[in-house]
Amino acid sequence: MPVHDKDYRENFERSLFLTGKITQETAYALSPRIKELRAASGDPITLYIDSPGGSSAVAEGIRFLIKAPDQDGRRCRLITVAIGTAASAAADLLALGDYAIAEPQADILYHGSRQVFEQVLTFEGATSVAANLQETNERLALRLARSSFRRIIWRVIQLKDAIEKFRDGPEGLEELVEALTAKFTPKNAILLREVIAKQKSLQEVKTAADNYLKRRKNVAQWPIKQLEPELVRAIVDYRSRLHKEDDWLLSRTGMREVASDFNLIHDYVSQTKDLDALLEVYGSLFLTQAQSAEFKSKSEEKHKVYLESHAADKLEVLWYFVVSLCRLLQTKDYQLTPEEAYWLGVVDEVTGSGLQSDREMIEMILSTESATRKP
Amino acid sequence: MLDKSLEEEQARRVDERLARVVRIIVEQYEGDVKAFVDSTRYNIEMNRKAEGASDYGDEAPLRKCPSTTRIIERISSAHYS
Repeated sequence: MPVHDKDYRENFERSLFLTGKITQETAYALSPRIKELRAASGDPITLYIDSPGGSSAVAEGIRFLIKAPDQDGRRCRLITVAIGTAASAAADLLALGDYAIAEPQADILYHGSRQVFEQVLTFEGATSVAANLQETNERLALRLARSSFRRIIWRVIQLKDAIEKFRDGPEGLEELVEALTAKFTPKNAILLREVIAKQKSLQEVKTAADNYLKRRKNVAQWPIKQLEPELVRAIVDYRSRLHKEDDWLLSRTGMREVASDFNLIHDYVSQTKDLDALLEVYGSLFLTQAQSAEFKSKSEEKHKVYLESHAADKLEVLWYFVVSLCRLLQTKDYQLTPEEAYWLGVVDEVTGSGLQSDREMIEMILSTESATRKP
Repeated sequence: MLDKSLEEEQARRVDERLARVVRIIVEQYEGDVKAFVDSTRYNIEMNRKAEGASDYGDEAPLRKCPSTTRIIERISSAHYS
C-alpha cells in the first residue's frame, strides 16, 4: 500500500481558495475560514490559487494569518496549489508555500513591484518612491531565494554530468547553469544567462581580490575597518591591470566600476553567511565520489568540519546564484510554464508531469519502510 | 507588516524527512538521485504487484471472470428481450 504524507499532500477538506485580484476585501473574506481551519486542527492548510496578483502586503497578511503560531507556538503548514493564474503577489505566495504545487494548466508570472499614483510626483517624491520599490524588490527577492534554494538543490543534482563537474569545484557552476538552461524556453533562458554573466564577473574580481589580499599578513584577523580599504585597493589594482591598454581613469568611469565591484563582493559575503544548517543537510550531495567515501569513513562529529572544507564553497556559489536569479525575477516580466517554475525552484511539484518531487521521495521511503515492517 | 520570526524560521528550518532522503541517497546511491528514484519506484511497483497477487492467492485467475450478478443480468436480458 502506498503511504501518503499529509504534510506534502493537498487536502480539499482543509482548503481555501484565493481567486481574483488580491485586495483588502480578499483578506476580509478569507480570515474567518482561516481561523476556523486553524481552530479545528494543526494539520496543513491548502491554499488554491487562481489570481492575477494585487497587493503584496495583503498577500503577505494572508500568509501570516495562516502561519501565525497558536497559543502553544505551533504553526500550520501551508500547501499552495496553482490551479490557474498565479501572477505577481500570487506567484510570490505560491512559492512561499511550505510545499508548492502547480497543476499543468497553471500560468505563473513574475515581475517587479509596482506602485500606482494619482497625484503629481516631485523629484524628491520620485526618488523616495524609487528607493522604496527597490527595497521592496530586494526584500521579496531574498525571501523568494530562501524558499527556492532547497528546491534548486534538488533540481541541480538531477543534472547528471554537470553536477559531477560542479562537485569537482565551484567553477563548474557555469556548466551546471548551462544544463539547467536547456529546460527553459529561449525567452526565459536569457534570465539564467544574465545571472551567469554576473556570477562570472564576480568570480573574476573575487579571485583577483583574494590573490591581492593573500600577500598581506594575517588578513583573516583584520577588523572590517582595515579590510575594506584594502579590498578597494585590490579592486583598483585589478581594474587598472584589466584596462592597462585602454585610456581608463578613475575620474572617468573607473570609480563607478570599482564601486560596483566592491558592492558585488560585499553583497556576496553578506549573503553567503549563515548557510550552516543547509550545509549540514545538503552538503554531502556536493561531494565527489572520493570525498564522499572519505566523508563516510569519518565519525559523525567530524562531518560538519569536513563539509565546511569540502562543500561550503559550492553551496555558497549556488546560493548566490539563486539570490541573483530571484533578484532578476523581480525586475522584468517573466511568464513561466509549470515545468519552468519547477526547474527555477518556484514550486516543488507539477502534478502529472512525472518530474521528481520531495513528496514522492519522502513517500517512497515511508512506503518502503512500511513494506519491510509487514510480517 | 513583517513577521520576522516566520521569515527566520523559514530560512533556518530543515525538514528532517528530506535530511533522511539525502542520507539514503549519499550512503546507498553515491549521490545519484535518479538511481535512488528509479530503483525505489521499481521496488515499490514490485511490492505492489506481489501484494496484489498474494491478496487474492489461488482465486486471482477467477477474478478475470465477470461477476455472478453480471452473468445473471446478461442471461435475463437475453431471456426477456
